[in-house]
Amino acid sequence: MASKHIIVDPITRIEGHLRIEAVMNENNVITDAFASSTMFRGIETILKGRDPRDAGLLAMRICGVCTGTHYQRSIEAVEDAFKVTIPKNARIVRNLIQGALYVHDHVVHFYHLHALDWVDITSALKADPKAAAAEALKWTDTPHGAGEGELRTIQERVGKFVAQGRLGIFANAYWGNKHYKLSPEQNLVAVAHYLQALDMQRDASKMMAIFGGKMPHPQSLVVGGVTCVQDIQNPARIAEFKSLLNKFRNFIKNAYLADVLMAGTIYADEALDGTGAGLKNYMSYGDFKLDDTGFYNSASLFPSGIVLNGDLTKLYPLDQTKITEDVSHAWYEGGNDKGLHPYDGVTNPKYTGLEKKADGYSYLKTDEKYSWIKSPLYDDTRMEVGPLARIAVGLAAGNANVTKYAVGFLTKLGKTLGLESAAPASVIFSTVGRTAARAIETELMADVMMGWVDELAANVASGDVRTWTEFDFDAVSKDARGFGMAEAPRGGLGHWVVIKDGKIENYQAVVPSTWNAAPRDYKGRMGAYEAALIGTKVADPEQPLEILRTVHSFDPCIACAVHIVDTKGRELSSFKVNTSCAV
Amino acid sequence: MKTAIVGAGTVIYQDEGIGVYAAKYLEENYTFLDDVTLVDGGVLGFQLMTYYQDYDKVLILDTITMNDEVGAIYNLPSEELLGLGSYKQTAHEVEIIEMLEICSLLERMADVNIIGIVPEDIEQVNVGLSEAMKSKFEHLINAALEELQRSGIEYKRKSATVTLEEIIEKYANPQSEFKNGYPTSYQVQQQK
Repeated sequence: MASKHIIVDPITRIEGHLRIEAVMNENNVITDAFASSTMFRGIETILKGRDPRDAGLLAMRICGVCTGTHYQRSIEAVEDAFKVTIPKNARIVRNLIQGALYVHDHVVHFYHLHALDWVDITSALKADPKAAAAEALKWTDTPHGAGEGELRTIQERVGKFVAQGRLGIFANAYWGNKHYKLSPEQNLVAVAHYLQALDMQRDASKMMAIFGGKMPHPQSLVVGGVTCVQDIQNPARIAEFKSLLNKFRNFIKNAYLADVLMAGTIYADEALDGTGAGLKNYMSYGDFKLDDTGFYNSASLFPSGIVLNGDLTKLYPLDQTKITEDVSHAWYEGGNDKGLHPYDGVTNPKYTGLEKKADGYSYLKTDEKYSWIKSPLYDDTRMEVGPLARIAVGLAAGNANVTKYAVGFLTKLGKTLGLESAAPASVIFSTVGRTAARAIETELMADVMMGWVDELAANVASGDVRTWTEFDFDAVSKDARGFGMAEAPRGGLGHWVVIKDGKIENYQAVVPSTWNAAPRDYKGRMGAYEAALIGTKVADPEQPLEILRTVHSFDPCIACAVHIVDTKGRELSSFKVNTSCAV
Repeated sequence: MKTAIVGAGTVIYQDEGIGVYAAKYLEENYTFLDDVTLVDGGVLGFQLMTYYQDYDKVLILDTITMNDEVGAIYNLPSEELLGLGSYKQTAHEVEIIEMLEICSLLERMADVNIIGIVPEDIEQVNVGLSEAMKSKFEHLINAALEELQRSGIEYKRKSATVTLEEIIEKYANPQSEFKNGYPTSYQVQQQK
């Protein structure tokens, strides 16, 4: 048989979460790929007819990781509809809450959801801790927690866990796969940071809670501003935020950035040859307002715009009216060709199932509908969103901040690769580059947040304690429409709302993973995940490590909708609670 | 014993919300000692890690897939669940069990139990519960109370009862507390 068809699918009670089907040729190179998944759907059904000021409280239930982001987007869509500009304090507080989410999310993503695609824990057990401590110094002058003694302790601890068979994550891993390229010492340094990051992430979590209030469902935002008046007027709270941020920032620089530089150097071949690049069309909605001139007027940390075909010399302005959602290959009815704009969006499910083939497995009906995700288009073009898109758009826009941090990283990479100058910017158009882009913007974010904290403290000290802008609800909510478009950690997130006589008439949310994980469109063009897999060589088809690497590099957020505990058919009857005699 | 009782699930998908309602029901109808925290986890992501790390005991109320009838209830200790998340074989994201596995690398982790119920309908978009779940709701609560008892966590029933219907209503029609603004000047005065 010349080609092989492999399926990567967690198989749960509901089809998806995220399922990838890939076709490989005789050399194990992927020639075709399909992404299918469950995705939240039907939020508009729930929001229709409600008071738009309450929409955020339900919209935040869409996702457990970006809860606060959905909450804020929903509120901002309504503010845009009402033409309300929030006060300076509210703008900075929202930036700090979102910024804390970014740095937390990106660090946890790298270490706990993605690192093991690059790092072989079992190899770390063979490392010489002394040599590993020396190795850590190659990637930063001040490595975090990577002295010989610490590394030895961690190695012994992990060794003990392995010996006890205590580690669930070891059960199904692809350890020893020949596409793992780090040395035992490099693996040990990364494993140490993996464990240290577990402790560190708690600080970032606390940061979010300082201004976000009750976690995990923040309550501190309202249409018109924020409600954490007491917190911003309390210097101790602000100082606490800054101290947590600073500690986490050191970890970002001396562990996260250093480890990404190390992996980027060792896996540089894959970055240079563009493995996992995919669409090379990048879109950023722009986010993190830097002044108080109002929604889509103010300058932002990440500029908005479009980059096409990886050409960083041209930037096209973003026009939200050009966004449509096509359902040709998604399990919905309605709309045709390039589909409808979110203001007019409809969500009518039409599930057509999978097809059982002679080998006994069920396959996606890829010629027809095969995913719960719609295929969004921008100006009839497929787009990638996320950290890589933000960096690409920032570079194309000549944005000073983005350029400084991106060039800084590429210069260091050029040095570690032994090049005469910085590594070419084109290396970011790859799976490795996507992972590096996330680290680059994390460092940028941590640094600018330090300034924002001071800006907030200074503004409050100057006597401006306003956190809310008054508006006449009855007047502004008669007939209004607006959108909250901004950048969640995973990419452009938009909420669109249509309001009539004080009630929501239509509501649509287009989330980042919709852009990235979407199926084919009406012209048969691939979505971002699908395109990124084409041409990838898989070392061992039984261990599709390379597929996971690329899909994980997008930081997929698909399980948002359904959160059931899946026992995968395991026999657990002895744990059944006998309820017949209860009550 | 520092304890977190976490209701997990997505309230916008019918029976998916049962864990969230159960945690809220316990919070409204029982009193606990100060070291017990009740959490409306929702689709709790990474924040679960902090609970696993910082608490002695974590009780998660959730839906569960199992080859068993709708409404069947299980009390699963964490050691039975490790290995099910299979980090490497799934392309999807943060889930309760994956978080457990990640935290299992730590020296010390909370004693975790998942009290799970087999749902009937987790696809319909609606804030509410199927009749099958409603009729089993009290059993789920009892299973949680039994686990608390076994772990030596004290609780007392309050005199007045908040019903399941009243709790669902709070989630079905949440009202923004400050939708007509926030009394900034008042707060400032209070501070002084």
